[in-house]
Amino acid sequence: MKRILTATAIAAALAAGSAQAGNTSGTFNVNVTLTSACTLSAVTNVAFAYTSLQAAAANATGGGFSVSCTNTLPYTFGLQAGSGAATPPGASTISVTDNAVNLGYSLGLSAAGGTGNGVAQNFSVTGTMAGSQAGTCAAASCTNGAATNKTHTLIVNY
Amino acid sequence: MRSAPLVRVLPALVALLAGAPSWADSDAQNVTVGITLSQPGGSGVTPVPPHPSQRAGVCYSRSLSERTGATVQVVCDSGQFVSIEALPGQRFLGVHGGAFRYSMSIDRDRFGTGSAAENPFGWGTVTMLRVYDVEQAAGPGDFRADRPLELVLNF
Repeated sequence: MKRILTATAIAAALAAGSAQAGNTSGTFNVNVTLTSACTLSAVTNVAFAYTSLQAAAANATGGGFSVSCTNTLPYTFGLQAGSGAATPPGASTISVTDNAVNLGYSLGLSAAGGTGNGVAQNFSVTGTMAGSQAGTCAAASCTNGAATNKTHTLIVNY
Repeated sequence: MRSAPLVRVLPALVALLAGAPSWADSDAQNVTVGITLSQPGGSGVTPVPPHPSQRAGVCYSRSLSERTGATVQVVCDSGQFVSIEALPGQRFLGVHGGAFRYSMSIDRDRFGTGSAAENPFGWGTVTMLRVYDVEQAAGPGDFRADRPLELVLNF
């Protein structure tokens, strides 16, 4: 009986003991490269309703857009007449005479820029059309649907 | 010592570059401008002469104004009768050689008794008025005081 107990004690001691001879540890870094970016949403159409020779200036409706930028990333907006390749940074305002209805207008922006916060921030392209313009229209009313210079470019610089 | 000027210029160049805006990138979207242009009153290409009891209003001329870079306004029975002005920001190309305002008053009592040539009013060089009935026109010279006016402007 004594022999059985001794063998059991030895087996238990072996089972409880570690088989590792030793250990060591090391650290490692996680390197992250974040490329900041801003993305513009589509811009809703800027719309003018104008009566020939009206005395008061007309303000456009529409023109809303949003920009989403990396947190804390500063950005600015610019406008560029025409739809050609964007050449940053663009201008704060542009003046255009529509080549279909022969009305001049100016486009601007509700803000010069901002700072990214990781979510969409809303702005708008503003438009003003001076009063006392005759325009060109051979009917009771016309649109500038046939104009070849009705599309312009909004740029966000970051 | 020959490099001394470069040494002096280099910090300035570095400072200049550091101060210049350096946009890393950009994004762009198209902006489309839609315009709806309406005529005053929306009466169409051929203005319908107003009823004599509704003569007050704004008339307009398109025939020559755009070619000459001017706007022409006629306000019937409400003080201003004719004005010709250069389009905003444009040069007036009229034969008179400059932007000007042409104004004249109207005396309806004189219309019933004589032609514009016999009773000139206002001033200008080539302006003609005819009074006629659009619906029952017997031709120029068929004057009635309450009939619509046709205003011919040459400038």
